[in-house]
Amino acid sequence: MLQTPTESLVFFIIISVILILLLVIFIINIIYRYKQKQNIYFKDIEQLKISHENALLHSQLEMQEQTFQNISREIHDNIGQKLTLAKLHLNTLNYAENEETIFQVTDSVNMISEAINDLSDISRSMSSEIILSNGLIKALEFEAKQLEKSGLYNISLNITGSTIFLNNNTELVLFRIAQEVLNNIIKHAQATKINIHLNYTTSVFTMEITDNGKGFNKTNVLPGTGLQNIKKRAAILNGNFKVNSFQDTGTQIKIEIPLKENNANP
Amino acid sequence: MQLHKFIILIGTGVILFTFFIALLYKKKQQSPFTKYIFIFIILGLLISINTIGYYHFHMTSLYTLRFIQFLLISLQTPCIGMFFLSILSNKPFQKSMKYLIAFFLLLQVFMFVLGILNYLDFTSIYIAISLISLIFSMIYFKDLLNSVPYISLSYNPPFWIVVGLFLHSCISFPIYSLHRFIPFQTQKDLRLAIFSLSNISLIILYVFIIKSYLCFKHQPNL
Repeated sequence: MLQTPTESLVFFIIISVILILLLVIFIINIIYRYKQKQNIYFKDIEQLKISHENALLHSQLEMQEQTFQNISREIHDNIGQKLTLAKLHLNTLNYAENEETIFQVTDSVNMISEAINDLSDISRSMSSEIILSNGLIKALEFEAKQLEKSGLYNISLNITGSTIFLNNNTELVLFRIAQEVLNNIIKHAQATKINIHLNYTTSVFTMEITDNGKGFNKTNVLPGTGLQNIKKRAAILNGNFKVNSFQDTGTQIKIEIPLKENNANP
Repeated sequence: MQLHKFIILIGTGVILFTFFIALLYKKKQQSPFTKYIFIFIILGLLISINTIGYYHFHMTSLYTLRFIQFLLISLQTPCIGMFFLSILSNKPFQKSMKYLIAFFLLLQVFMFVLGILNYLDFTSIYIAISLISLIFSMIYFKDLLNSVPYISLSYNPPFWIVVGLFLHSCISFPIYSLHRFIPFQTQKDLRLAIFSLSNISLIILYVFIIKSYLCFKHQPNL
């Protein structure tokens, strides 16, 4: 075997190198396993954070929906009823054939009629009933008609793909997103044309709302605007939210949601 | 100068440097484990000075050298034990560690007495200490993999100290266990090379301790 001191020394050096290599591999293995565990841990934390935020958003939306319902009911049952009663009283008023009085009363009756119609529209718009009973498309058609009544906007609603009913909550969230977008257009865009495009595929639903308004610079958008709300609502549906807008060229808002997670009715 | 003497000199320099680094961070860092490591470094420095005193200046006899050496090394063991106890995070591991420390201290006292009776041959005490460090390191690694992994290992001072201790004990344990089987007369160079390797592993340990102190400077907010 190892007879000379040189042979022993060489053998010793080889053994030492192997031993040190094995130790280094062992340490690297420990670090690698720890890192793997750490990655899983951080992913879990992130997941927990997301689900917590989603739960928070859900409860916020539920509260908001509840408030909408209360206001809607109040308008319909209370204010609307009182106005109708006032209109009835005015109609049945027995007044002298005074031309000025006739004109004033007729004018008041017309104004009250308009107020009743407006309140009725607001009530329907706030209510989730239209979504629950008629679905997203009908609700959007109603919303478009309401806007067109003002005479300021030319609105088109296009639908492509095979339409399906998404689950009630999903349709409600999408409808609220569309309302928020339309509200932003009315408030800021100075647009004349609005196009709403719904596209149904087997895996993804897309809603695109485009206007021909003044557009905006994305870097100048302040936090707390409607865009943040839209983004949060899209996140609830695990959807993507994209905004394309440039100064004086209009704005395009695109929401994409996976159907697999959103089309099953609870 | 012979290689093994040169390595001892370099080792002393590294330990001295580690001591200054530890001194620099002593007031800044009040982590429980740093006080045990600080004592460990001081004892290591005294061991090195004692060795240099013997090899380079012939200040003491071989027996005095050995006796002081073993006394100081015996004091390092409780430091290592307390260090490990302070860095473990899982209760069952801490409990096992307490029992192990008590057992190893008793074993060490027994071996110390045996060494004195055996003409100051303390080889077995070296073997025991290497084994203790090895077992403690393995317990730490097990504890690390069982704990919540929120810390970054790159900036975790105890981890680097344990890695240093683990490497040192893994290299020292076979050396002290097998060196008596190498004949001193015919294989002198091999014996010296083996002990030099053990001293190099000791230098690596102190380099890792320096690295751990430097981690305090870069600890990120997780």
